[in-house]
Amino acid sequence: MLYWICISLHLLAATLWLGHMFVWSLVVGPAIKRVEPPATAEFLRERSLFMGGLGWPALAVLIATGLYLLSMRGISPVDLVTGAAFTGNGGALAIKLFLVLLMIVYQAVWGHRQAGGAIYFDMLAALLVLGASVVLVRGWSG
Amino acid sequence: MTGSLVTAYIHLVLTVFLVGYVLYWAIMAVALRRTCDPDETLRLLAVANRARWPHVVVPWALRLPLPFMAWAFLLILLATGVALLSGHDWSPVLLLKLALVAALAGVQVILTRRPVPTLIFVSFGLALVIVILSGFLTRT
Repeated sequence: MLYWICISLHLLAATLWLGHMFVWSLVVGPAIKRVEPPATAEFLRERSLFMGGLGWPALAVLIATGLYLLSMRGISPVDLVTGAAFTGNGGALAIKLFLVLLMIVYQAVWGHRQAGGAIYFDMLAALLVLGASVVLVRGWSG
Repeated sequence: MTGSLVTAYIHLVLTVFLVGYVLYWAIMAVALRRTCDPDETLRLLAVANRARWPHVVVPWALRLPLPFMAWAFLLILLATGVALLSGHDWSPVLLLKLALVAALAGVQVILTRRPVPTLIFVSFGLALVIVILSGFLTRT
């Protein structure tokens, strides 16, 4: 049961964090900019950001549940450090964890500040992480 | 790489977008209720509901109001979800998930016309429960 709860929490944290990032950056943020009058647009934009980002709390949940889920596959943190986890069919895991590391660096460097073009690399990394996650669960054959 | 892998990927990405969308409205409802009276909250939610996407390049008349984005997410999720159903038994968890998806779509019908905080929170809660149930349906 704990295994299923961890999968659900992992999925929940990922969708909330990445959904927040994608929808604010690509959909509602730009759309709200064009609301008239501009003062209302600015008020709505400021209100939509009042809670800040979800990056660090989501990452805490994702790392904890991710390590547990890997342990259920027989992969320990030591295997991650030594690289033993990435041999054989561990390519998708290697790609995912490398990209997650990049996203953590992004989170640490830019956090909730204006990131300029860097956020697009962060979103690309997120899309690739999701792809690697699908491959990890379903295998390359689907 | 197979079609089902691509379908699962699209389903996951669109889930992320839909959760982000309902999260946006939940945060907006909370934020406006903290600073505005109920009537002003409803007015500002309606203003936000009329915002259109994308904000550049496309002529105004062709831009999609925000609720239509939610419908686009839901329709793609429905199509990919149906395609992925072939790999699943009709378990109680799956049936419950589908019932909640139907409820979410029903709530979205009302929110498309008039966003109100109570239904926004219901929509957010439904989406979170659907994601949690999806975790129980994930392949091991």
